[in-house]
This record gives sequence, structure tokens and C-alpha cells, in this order.
Amino acid sequence: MSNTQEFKIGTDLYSIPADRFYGRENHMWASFDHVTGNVTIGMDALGLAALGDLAYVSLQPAGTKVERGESLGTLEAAKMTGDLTSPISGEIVERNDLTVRNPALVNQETYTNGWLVVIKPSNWENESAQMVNVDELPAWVDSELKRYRQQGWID
Amino acid sequence: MLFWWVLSRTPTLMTLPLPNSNEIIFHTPGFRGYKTDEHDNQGAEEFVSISITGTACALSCEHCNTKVLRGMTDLRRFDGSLYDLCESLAGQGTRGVLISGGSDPQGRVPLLPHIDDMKRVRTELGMAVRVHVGLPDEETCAALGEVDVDGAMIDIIGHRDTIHEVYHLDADPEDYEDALSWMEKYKVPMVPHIVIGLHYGKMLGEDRALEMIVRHPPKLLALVVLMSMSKTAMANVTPPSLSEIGAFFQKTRKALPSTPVMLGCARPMGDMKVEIDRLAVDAGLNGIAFPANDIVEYARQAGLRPQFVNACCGVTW
Repeated sequence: MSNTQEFKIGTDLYSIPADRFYGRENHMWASFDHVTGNVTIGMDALGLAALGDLAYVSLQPAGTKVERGESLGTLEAAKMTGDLTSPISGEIVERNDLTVRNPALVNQETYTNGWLVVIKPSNWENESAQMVNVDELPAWVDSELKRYRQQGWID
Repeated sequence: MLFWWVLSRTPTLMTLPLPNSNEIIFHTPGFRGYKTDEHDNQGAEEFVSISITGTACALSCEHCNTKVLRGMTDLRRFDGSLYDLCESLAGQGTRGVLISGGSDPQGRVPLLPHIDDMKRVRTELGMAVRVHVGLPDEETCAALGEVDVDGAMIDIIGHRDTIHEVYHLDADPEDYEDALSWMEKYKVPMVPHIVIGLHYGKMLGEDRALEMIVRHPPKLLALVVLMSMSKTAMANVTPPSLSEIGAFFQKTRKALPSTPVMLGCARPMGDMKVEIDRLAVDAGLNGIAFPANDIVEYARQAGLRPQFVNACCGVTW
């Protein structure tokens, strides 16, 4: 199994690394840190491709408790204004002010410096089991590409 | 029975706000998800944008490079006619459509093959039909006059250099005025747009565009502001200053005192959007598409009564 799932939209090449979990519909990634027990959250390349250029991001401050599906903050992109929804439950322990100051970072360094928040999870075992894992990744990416194309969100 | 069903679904223009009224309409057409603290269009399927050419466009303008077409429902990927697609959408609750698409080398959106379908969409489905016309010829304007469209949206460009350099189109401002004249002649409700800063962020043909529009009073005028988009030739262009934008809002309001003037979909996002939207309220514009967060409250504090419509500027249900 390759450690990255790659796909093309038009002539552009995108990647989805297999070292983390993905929200099935909200396209948020979640990367578990085995040392701290915390989870870093960001948005994946396919979700970003459908949103277009990200122009504004606001994030809840550290100390905020969120349930899975609740808002981590808001975004304004070329094709959407709305909530960034959390793929897991827990307490935000850190937010990435760099992405608040420069939202383009989320598009440019999606899986590294473009992270959004770090969450101390309250139900990681159960909730990560409901996310897309490495085994499901290729089929999920294919079906999401198909769905996004049918909706006209991507080429 | 069908008559009443159609009548109940037919958009009315009766509540289009008059200038100087205390109403302001916030529009959130369904091609963008929109949820703020003040309004949620629920991923609106009420009003759907359709591209009859998919992402194909012969012009690939400097500011757009076909990106605006992405995200629209692609007719080419649907197994059926434009009418069939609209009938399918109607079954999902859609009440109006924007028929858009890329341009041919003459700047026309190729609407003519779909005119009969558009007539059926109006008469049989009762949907509001908005069209993007590009730079239409007289034949297209005459045909649209038979469709009973809710409005024909056309970018009016007032300087030859912008038409040539940004739109890659061999045309002149006079050609745009001809298009306005033909639409007037064939009684096509006009919804002209002026893109403030279209010439690489500089003010160039905006005044002349406004003068042309004043000579052919439209159903409403939409003002938009150049929005730099990635992977276009204008990705790093700086839009006009807030003072230039605000001054043009004021000038437009004075030039068209009895015509609704709206702030349309496109404009820079983030903090600048908040400032632009406030300028629009301050200038007395009659509506704003996809308002920045807190603008609804700002309008309330200015004594305005907000309304929300999940459709293009000027469409009301």
C-alpha cells in the first residue's frame, strides 16, 4: 500500500497521505500523536479543491470543548462560507494562528504547516473507527471524486 | 390545477426593493454554500447554476480562466436536454436556474440551441430563468425576448483595452452598448454588471460603463469588485482601494436614483469584504449577495429591514 493516495483534478495533482484518518463527509484529517495522545486536525486536499481559494479562517480558542460535528471555527472560500466541523470530540488545546493570519497556508501546506487545531480527544477510539482509515482510503477517494464531479464541485 | 401550481411557483418582482426604501435584500444563490451567524442558505437547492458548456470557454479571461464555471452543474454531464435537467431539479425543490456557460470566440454564451428548452422551463415548470449572455448578438437578444427570462446578466465593459487585454475579445465598448440596445428593443430584462477594477485592479472603463447603462435603464444593476483568483493571470492583482470602491458606489447610486443597485457575488473576501459591504450599505445600495458576517446587523442599525432570498440578485419568490 502506497503511503499516499494521489489523484488528479484537471491537470493538477493532489495527494492524501495514508498516515492519518479522514472525516467521511467533511474532509477533515485527524493525525494522532502517540506521545501526547493529542490529535492534530486539518482539511484534506479534496475538500480544499472543492472549496477553491481559502480567504478567511477563524478558529475557536484553546480551552473550547467540541463534540464531533460541531464547529471548530469558520471559513470563507471561493465556493463556500460556513463552519469548519470537528471530526472528533474533545478539547481544543492549541490553534494554528499562522493559518488564521494566512489562510492560503491551508491550501499550500495542507498536511504540515496548514493544520488548524490540536484537540485532546475524549472518545478517540470510537470516533476514529468511524473515520476513513488507511485500508479504506483508495475506495473512499475514488467514490468522493465521483461524488464531487457529479455535483459539479470539481472537474 | 397546473396553472395554479405554476402561478404559485412563479417568481414575482413585486417585492424588488425600490431605491430609498428601508428594505435591503441579502441574496445567497445556491452555487455557494453559505452559513454565517446571521443566515444559512442550507446549501440551497432553490436556485441552481447550470453551465451549458461545462468548463469550456473560448476566451479564458485574465481574471477568471474558466474558474467561475467550476462548481456549476454541468449540462454536458447530464444525460438529457436542458429542460430534462431543469425538470429533474424541480423535483428536488429547485425554483429557479441561472443558465450560464463559457463564451464562443465572439464572446457569446451559446444560448440559441437551448431557447426552446428555456421557454418550456418557464411555461411548464414555472421556474425563474436567469441567463448569462456574454456579449450577445441581436439574434440571441431577439430569441431571449421570447423566453420571458427573469433577467439577462451581462458584464458591461467601458474601455477597449480591457475588452482586448482582459477578455481577449476583439470588440469595443460600442458593441456592449449595441447589446444593451438590442435587449431593450426585445424587452429582455437587463441585469448589467460592472466589475470594479477589472483592468488589472485599476479603475479604467467603469465610468463609461455606467454612462452606457444609464442610457438603457436596466431592471437592476449589480456592482462587483475584482476578486483575485489563484491560477489566473490576475492571481496577485490588488483590487481598487476602498475609497475608490466607495466613491463608485456613491456615483452609481446618484446616476441611477430610481433603479435597484445591488452588490453582486464577486468581491475580495476576508476583512476587505466586510469593509466593502459596509460601504454598500452606507451608499444606499439595495441588496448584497453573500454578505459578510455582521453586515445584516450593520444594516439593521442603519435603519434597514433585511430580507433573505436564496437566489441571484433581484430574483424574489
